[in-house]
Amino acid sequence: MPKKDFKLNRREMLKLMGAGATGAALNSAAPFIRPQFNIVKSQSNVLRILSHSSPQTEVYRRAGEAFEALTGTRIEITECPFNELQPKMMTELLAGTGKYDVIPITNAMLYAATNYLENLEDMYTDELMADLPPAAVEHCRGLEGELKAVPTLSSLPANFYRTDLLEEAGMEPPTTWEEFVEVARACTLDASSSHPKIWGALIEGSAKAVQPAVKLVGWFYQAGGGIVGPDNMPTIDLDENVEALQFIVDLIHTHKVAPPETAEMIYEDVHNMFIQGRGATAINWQYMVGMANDPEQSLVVDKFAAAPVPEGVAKGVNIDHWVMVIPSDSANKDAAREYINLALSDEHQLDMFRTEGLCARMSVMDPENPEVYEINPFIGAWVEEMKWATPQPKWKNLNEAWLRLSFAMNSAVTQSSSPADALERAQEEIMALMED
Amino acid sequence: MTATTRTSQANPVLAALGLVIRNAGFYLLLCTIAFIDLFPFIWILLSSFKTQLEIFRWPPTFFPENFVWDNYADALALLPAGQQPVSDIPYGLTNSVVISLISTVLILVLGALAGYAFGRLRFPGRRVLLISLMMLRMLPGIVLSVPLFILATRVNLFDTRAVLVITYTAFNLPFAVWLLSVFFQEIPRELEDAALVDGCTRASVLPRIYLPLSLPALATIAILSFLATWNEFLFAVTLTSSKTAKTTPVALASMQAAFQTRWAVMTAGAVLASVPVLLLLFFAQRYIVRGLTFGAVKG
Amino acid sequence: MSPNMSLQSKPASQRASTPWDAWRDWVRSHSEMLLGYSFVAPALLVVGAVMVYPILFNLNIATRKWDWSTPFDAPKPFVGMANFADLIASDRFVNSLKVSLLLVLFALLVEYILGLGLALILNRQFRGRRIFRTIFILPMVLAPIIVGIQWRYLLSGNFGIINYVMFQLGVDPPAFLSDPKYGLPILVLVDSWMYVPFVSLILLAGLQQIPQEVQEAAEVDGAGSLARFWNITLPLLGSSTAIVLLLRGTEIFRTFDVVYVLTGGGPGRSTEVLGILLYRIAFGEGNFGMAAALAVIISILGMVIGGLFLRFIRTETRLF
Repeated sequence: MPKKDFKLNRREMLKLMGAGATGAALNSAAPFIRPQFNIVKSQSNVLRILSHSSPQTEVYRRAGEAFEALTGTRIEITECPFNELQPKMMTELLAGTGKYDVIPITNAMLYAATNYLENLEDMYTDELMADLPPAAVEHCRGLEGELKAVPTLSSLPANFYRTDLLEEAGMEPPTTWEEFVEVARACTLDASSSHPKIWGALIEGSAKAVQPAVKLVGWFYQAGGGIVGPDNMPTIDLDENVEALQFIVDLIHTHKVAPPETAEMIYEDVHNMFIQGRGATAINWQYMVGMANDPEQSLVVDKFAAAPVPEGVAKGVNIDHWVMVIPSDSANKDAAREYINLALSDEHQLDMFRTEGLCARMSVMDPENPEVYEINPFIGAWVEEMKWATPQPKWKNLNEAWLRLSFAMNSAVTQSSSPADALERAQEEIMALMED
Repeated sequence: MTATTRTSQANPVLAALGLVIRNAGFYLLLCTIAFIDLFPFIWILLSSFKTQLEIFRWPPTFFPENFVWDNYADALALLPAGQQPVSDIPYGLTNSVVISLISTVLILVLGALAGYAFGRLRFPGRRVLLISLMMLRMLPGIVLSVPLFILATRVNLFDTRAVLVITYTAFNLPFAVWLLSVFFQEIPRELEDAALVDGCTRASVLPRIYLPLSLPALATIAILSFLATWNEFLFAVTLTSSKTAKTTPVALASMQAAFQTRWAVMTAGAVLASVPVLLLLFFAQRYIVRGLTFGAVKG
Repeated sequence: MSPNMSLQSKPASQRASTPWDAWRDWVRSHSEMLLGYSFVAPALLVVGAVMVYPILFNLNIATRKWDWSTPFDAPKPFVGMANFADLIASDRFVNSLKVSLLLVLFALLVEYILGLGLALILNRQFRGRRIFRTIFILPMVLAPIIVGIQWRYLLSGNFGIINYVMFQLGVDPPAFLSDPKYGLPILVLVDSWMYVPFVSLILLAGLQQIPQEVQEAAEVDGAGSLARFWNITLPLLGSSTAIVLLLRGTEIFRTFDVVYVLTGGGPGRSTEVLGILLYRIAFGEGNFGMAAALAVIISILGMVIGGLFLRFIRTETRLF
């Protein structure tokens, strides 16, 4: 076809545009804009779970096997990667696929002011209520105080340290910020033929994920700051918070005890580096205990311990939880409730503790219990932390807020803005999120 | 090589020396560029034989300490009974093969039919339809990700292989139709007329006359469509969620979102996913180059 | 194009007595048209369902509030142009627009200059042409996801080989993937790595079409090689240049895959191109209405940029 054939004349152009406009007009009355539910045929004998690929999901799978033996209802678990769980759940619920009956999540939707999740008030017996850390129950409450979830696993960071390196340097495990800097300084070793550069402190600072922000607020609390003010409004730019962020920036740029790559690190890089023996201390979650003791992947087996995170002017750490929710568009809500109850039984909570290093019910993780002690010898550190841990803020855009805070932290640790400016901008952005 | 002979007559020894030096410089440059182009893949290839521990080793090893095949076993799910692969790559490979092959066949069939109609048959609206089709080709895929996601969930095709097959077919059709219509037009009409006189129908000249004569064009379309669908990521990541339908690129990318990135297995998966691409590159390079430059030269 | 004789061999209209006959005759006399429509129908159906209808549906979504604040069991409310207004007023959009345009500009510049250089070098006979061409094409045909993984692996701060080599050479390795000021350069680097061979392939085809006589005549006239390049080669490459810039420009504008795995839009927002922003808004934050609005803006921008580009090239090169 010659080139001139590839041009439309004005009349043809108008015709095409007319067709487009007619289509658009017809479409505004389209059927698809209306919600539509249970397209997926609900089967009463199948319970569908959306979960992320991790050892935690294996616990739910084993509970599922037990559930099937008890009730005859089969469990079908759809797995997705850890960092894709929340976006996937959000988009599928928004599009209304009606595909899932139970979803174990951390926080993404709990504080959404809408009715996407079932109210689970009825599942809280007095007994259960007394057995959960108060922060966990608080975590499950929606904006109006309604209980929308049931916790299955508490998650909070502790300070891991290399016993051998500290001993060589003649240091005690740090309990305060000053000691933390001292230990990190003494244990930062330049690369040699026998070992790579060993950093004194491994922390997260990536802007890509929420986890760095979740850990950052722990430092805020330790500096005497906080992130929730009166009326549930954010107070990101408090002077104490700026001081805490400055402290972290100093670890990298002044004391040079944390790697410059901190800015691209998330929990995963922290554990990778720590189990490769490339860090003397690391702030990370409890799951790292099992990983660092696994000779298949770890070079630091039996060479580390964990202690509560260091305190500044105050003790403080941010506690997060894995909770189970039931989407409102589920067709199997009763079976879902039964399943959650089973997952909370002693047996499966102990399974969770064995797999993840912690669980939700306090009575299951009693440090006095020799079995518990054997699984996680440092359980004392976490039980101690739970006494003064602060729950997550109740913001309806919490996930986004964390991302903004991670971003602020990232710009501070890359020195693209000062901690004060970074946090001020985060404050503005998070305020704007709350107004939506 | 004409320049060679001309100069060598003037002063053989000096000219030859100059030529060697100049050629050495030329080949050195080519090899440097080739090295830059190849090194990232070679590095991935070597890493795929290392253990997860060795990948993080200090100082890094260039050649694997021991060549281990575990990563490939894991990526292909050739594991001892009871052991689960750490990633979705095995499922991704199966899905990719199925989806790419079916889409390629569909693109060829639908593309040949429409290409023949646009190239050789006369009907009202033909030009406007073809131009509209060409304009759709310019549309960035990301623009349609949201409506396609919602529509796919509403017709219950979300997270199925079928939705990817349909999407890929649609997105690759405009190019196939255009290329084939241009190609068919260049086939002399007399051949068709002769066949019609011999008793062929209008519909049967397509398989009897046109298709056998356009094998190079069909091969080009098949290979480019296969590559495009095999490598596609955007729709694969927005329209699938589980291992029942996710393709290899999604399986690879989601390994980075996993709780722990298994670099060793991921590099093995990347190598496996590149195998068909490399095979096509070596054995069908002519068609790839023709297809890639077709738009540029004929546009 | 002559009317086809074999189709009109039966003058049918005289025998049309029943409606069925009339219908049959009509079909016979319009058989080419009917065949044409039935041949294009399957393709148009698929394209219509997957591309045309979703475009219209997208316009619909863009005018609605469709996010967490709308209850799951109620229709999504119509909000007019509010999504567009919110989006255009946001810093993120401005940032992404800037990042996308800068990426197009710099990547085009680098790719064109390097591609032209490579084409000039390759424009001669030499042994091993085929093997080198195979190697040069490799980066372009590899899946973008794999390219992203490769480079993330090479550039990683914790165990990347590039950092290690620089460290060995006594250079303090920069934090490639953590420092916002390296974000865009890294994308330009990787995109060039992938597409310089493609650019040079097209320019090489253009170079080979330049008649040898023209060059030789200029040489006889005493033009230096630089002058010949500037006054003859470059202008005669006009059409190849135009095509390559247009093709690459539109492609770079829609970059998504590589950015997704390599930087994910970070560090900070330094590589958050429009495509990544749309993905984040839709599939990270669950705001379908705003994402649809952004999709409309991206399409319009794409068309405007493509059109401007085409017009510029047309007036500059007087080719079309």
